Parts: sequence; C-alpha cells; structure tokens
Amino acid sequence: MIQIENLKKTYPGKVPTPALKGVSFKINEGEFVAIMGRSGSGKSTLLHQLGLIDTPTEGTIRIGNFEVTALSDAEKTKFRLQQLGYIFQEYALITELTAQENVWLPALAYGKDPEHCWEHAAKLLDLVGLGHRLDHYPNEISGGEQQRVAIARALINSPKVLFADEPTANLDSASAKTVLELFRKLNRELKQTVVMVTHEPDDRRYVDRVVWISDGLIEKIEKVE
Amino acid sequence: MSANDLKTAAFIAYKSIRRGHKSTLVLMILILSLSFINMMFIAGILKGLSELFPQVIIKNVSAYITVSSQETPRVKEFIPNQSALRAEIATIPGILRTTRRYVLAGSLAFDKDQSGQYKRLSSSIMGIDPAADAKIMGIEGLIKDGSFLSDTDTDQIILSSALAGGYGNLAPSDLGGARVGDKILVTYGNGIMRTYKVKGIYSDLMGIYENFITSKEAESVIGVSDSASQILVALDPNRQTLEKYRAQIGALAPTLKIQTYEDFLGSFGGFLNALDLIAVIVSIISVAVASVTIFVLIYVNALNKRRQIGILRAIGIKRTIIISSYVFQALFYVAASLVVGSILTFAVLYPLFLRYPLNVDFGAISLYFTAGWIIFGIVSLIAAGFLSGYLPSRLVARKDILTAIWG
Repeated sequence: MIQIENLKKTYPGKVPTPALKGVSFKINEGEFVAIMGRSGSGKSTLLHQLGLIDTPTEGTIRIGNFEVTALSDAEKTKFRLQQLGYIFQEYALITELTAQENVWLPALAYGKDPEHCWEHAAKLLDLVGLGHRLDHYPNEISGGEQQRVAIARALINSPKVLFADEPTANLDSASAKTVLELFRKLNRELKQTVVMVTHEPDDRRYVDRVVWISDGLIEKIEKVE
Repeated sequence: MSANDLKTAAFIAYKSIRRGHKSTLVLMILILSLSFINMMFIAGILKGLSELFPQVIIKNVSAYITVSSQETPRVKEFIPNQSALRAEIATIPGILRTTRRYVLAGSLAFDKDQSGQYKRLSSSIMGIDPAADAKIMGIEGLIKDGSFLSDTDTDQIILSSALAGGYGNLAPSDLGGARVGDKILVTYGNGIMRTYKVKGIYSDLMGIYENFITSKEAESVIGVSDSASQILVALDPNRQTLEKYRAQIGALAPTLKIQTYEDFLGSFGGFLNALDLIAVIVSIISVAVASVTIFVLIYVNALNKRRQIGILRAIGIKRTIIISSYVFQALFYVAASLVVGSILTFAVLYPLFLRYPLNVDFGAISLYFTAGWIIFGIVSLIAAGFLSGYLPSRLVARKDILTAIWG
C-alpha cells in the first residue's frame, strides 16, 4: 500500500538540519500503524512527507500505484484531495465554516454531487458522534469535538490512507480515548489504513504496528500483539 | 479552472465575507465608495467646468458658427444681402436657424448726477434683431434689471452690467452706476450721436462688455440696409462635425470669414484640455488609492488567514481556488462599493448639484458625466479589485504548506 525507500529530509539553513536520514519501510492496506519516538526524532517530519504536505530531499514514496514523490505540486494537491486524509494536531478547521461545511468542503472541491455529499458529511459527523453539532462553528465546540470534525473531514472523500499527526496531543484523556477508539473502529470496521504519529506509549494498544524513529532513522518496527 | 473550482472558491469567499469582521467590511466598502465618489465627483466638476465654457461662448459670444464680413483681399465692413445669404445657409442640413448682428464702435457717456460731468468709456455696440437673436443667443436670459429689446425699439439700449457699473463686476472702466431708465449718450465712430434710454441691464459673463441696440437703429446710424457684421448660426452638433458645417458655409460664402466657437475659445481651449487632463489624472490617482486600499486590506486579511490558507492547501484545495476566493472577496467589496458610491453620486450628489449648482461669474457649474467616463470609473475599480485580490492572495498562497500553517 505504502512503500518508502531511503527517505531523507534536510531542512535548509545556515546549518542544514537533517531530520530524516534514510528511512525505508512498508505499510500494508488496512493496517493501523503508529510512528513513535522522542520529541525531535523526525516522526512528524516523516508524516509530512507521507501526507505530501512537504517535499523530501531524497528518496521515494509509493502510495498505491503512484510514486507520489514524482508528482508535480498540482498533482500532489489533487492526490491529497482524492486519496489522502490528513488530521493535524491542532484540529485545523476552517473557522468560518460550520462543522458540516468543514466536512463537506473537500467533497465540494472534489466535484462530487454537492447534495449527496452534504448528506454524507452529516452521516460522517454522526459517525464521529457529532450529529447534534452540524451547524456549530469551531469556536462553539470543544477541542475533542473539533478533532472529531477534522476526522470526519479527512474521511469525506473516502481516502486510501488516513494520516494523523499527534491527534490526541491537545485533548483531555477522555477525548483522546474517544478519538483513538474512533480510529480503531474505522480501521477494524471499514478497513481504513491509518498512519498515526504519537508520543503516548499507551496508544500502542490501538495499533497493529509501531515504527520507532530515533534521530531520523528507524530504530525498530514493532508488531503489536 | 473548472466550474466546480469557481463554485468552491465562491463558497469560501461567501463564508469568509459572511463570517468576517463586519467592521472591516463596512470600512472597506466605505473607503472604496469614497474613492469612487472622489473619482466621479472631481472629474464631474472639472468636466462640468470644461463643458460650461464652450456653452457660455456659444450662448453669449459666437453661436456655433460666426460668419463675419470679408477681411481679404480687401476689408469690407459689412456682409451685403445678408437675408439672401442666411436663406442659403438655412438650406444646409443640420442648420437650425441664423441671426445677424451689426458690430459698431462707439463711446458711451453717462451723467449720473445731471451735473454736466459725463463719465465716458469706449465700447462696442451690437445691433441685433431681438426676436431672432433671442432664439440663438442667451442675452435675453441674462437680463437682471429691466427687459430685453423688441424688434421695433429704436431709442433704447441694453447695457452690460460690468459697463453700467455698481454691480460688482470688475471692468477696466464703467459708467458709474447707470440703471434702467437712465439716458446714455452714444457717439458712434462715424460721428453720429444718439441718446438712448437704458431698457435693460444684463449680467455680463466673462467680461464680454457689449451693449445692444436693435439692427433697425444700427442701420439708421450707419446708413445701410439688409447688411450685417456677423451672421450667427445655430446648428445640430450631432448631425455632422463643425468643420463640415464650416466647409459647407464656406462654399456658399467663399470671401467671408467663418469661425467656429472653438476659434473663439482660442487659447482657452488649451486650458479646457488641461482640465480634462487633470480629470484623468485625478481619476487615475483615485483608482490607485482604491487599488492600494484593497491590496493592503486583502493582504492583511490573507496574512491573518495564512494558517487557514495552509490548512486549505493541506486538505487538497487547489491554490487557484484559494486565490479565486480572495479575488471574489475583492470583487464583492468593489461591487458593493460601486453600488453605494453610485447611489451617493448619481442619486444624491448629482441631483443636488443640478438643483444647487456652483454659481460663478460666468455661469453655473454642475456635475457633468459621460457614459464613457462612468464606464471607465467602474471598469477601473473592477480591474483594481481583481488585481488587488489576486496579487496578495497569490503571494500568501505560494508559501509552502508547513510555513503557512506554522509560520
């Protein structure tokens, strides 16, 4: 499903900073994978490359049949819209849109039937437990609820892979549990491939495998029983 | 961009305007409306001024075309058989009517206190056919005291207010306060002296300093008949150009001098062209001010929403959709401003100026708009809005996603 070969990322500057120093691994379809490591280990950098919101310095990434590192900027944008879902640590909702509009927007941009997708957005919000918050704006709901809106948004175009960058970092423990259980439900019931960056050791119990990153390299890949 | 992209951009723009700060929206529309009003108002006043001068000349000095007596090869004082010539001129398509005038030189004297101490001045005295003249020229409408001449008057004169004196006009010299009913002694260039009763005093525009008697009286002074110093021609300016009219009249009277009102404007025409140029410059500055205003506001808005732009790009919204949404917002601001500005300009200022024009010595200045000018103003602002929405949003949307989101 996802194949990463010798992925490197160096941030330019007076003193170039290597964040990834040659990472290679595979993620299978329907897997729930966590990328873990200490702060500054390169795990978020890795997810940015996989989610196509940053460009690696070297190496290749294949998602499905596409070598996405070879795509143009416009093609990457289209790929993100149609094939990927991305969830940020800080919710990253559009403040001027209601929960339902936030979820609906990527479907509108995709060109799908707007009315059908409007209903689908409502169903997804219902799926993440926010059926009663459709018309609420982001500043009218809690952080945990905002993150669940972001998850629903990431799902609207039925992505091949769902990427989540420390999705529970800003949440209280109850909200974090809700979000993680939601990911597991999506993974188990809908066979949704999920790749999540987390620094919480307890999160291991929700995933199939853990890719441990240390100093820009894979330290180990752990299968969770 | 596809129709769907435009729909998405319009949706984002709509929500951004709807949920944005209302005070910013009002401020933006207010500033842009004022820019539009400024552009229309200043240009309208300058255009009104530059339109007024030719009208003053046409109505009070020369009509559209003045046919004068022969100057070359030999100067002749009068145009002979004027009625026959006018009848021929009247056959030219577009000519509305004609009248004739005698231009006599003389001196005017007035003894205000009946003390034998006359105040004198030199001036030209026009002999006119009052009824025909009034249909072309505007002297009758400028009478401020007394009344206008009738065709049968022989012992009455209309005085310029500047020459009569005491009306506030500045003339090199005046009669010291002649009024309706006073007796004026006129000595003509040929030595003939006549005493006239002042029948009316007209408000002298632009220092014309002319006085009027009837043609009948003028002919009795100079001993000619069916002649004229000038034939004034009223015409339809939309039917053909002045030069074509001039050529056609010239063909009928090749020895006579034919001048259009533009000739009478002389170097003043250059001043009027300068006014038009100033109007264009002021408009360009107004458009530039409006452009910078929208640019700054959109840029600040886009910078404030840099993170949001990054998020939109991260979830797969095309850069062109994001830029278009800002262009739509800018165009909305411009459209709303054009509506507000147009209402204030054309429904408030324009009727107000029509009712209460700026009165100056030579006439009343009102706002003057042409369709072309209004279209220029609207198109300029729309173009400014487009660029001012496009450029700043493009600058911000070009940043990479992570920089946009986290700075």
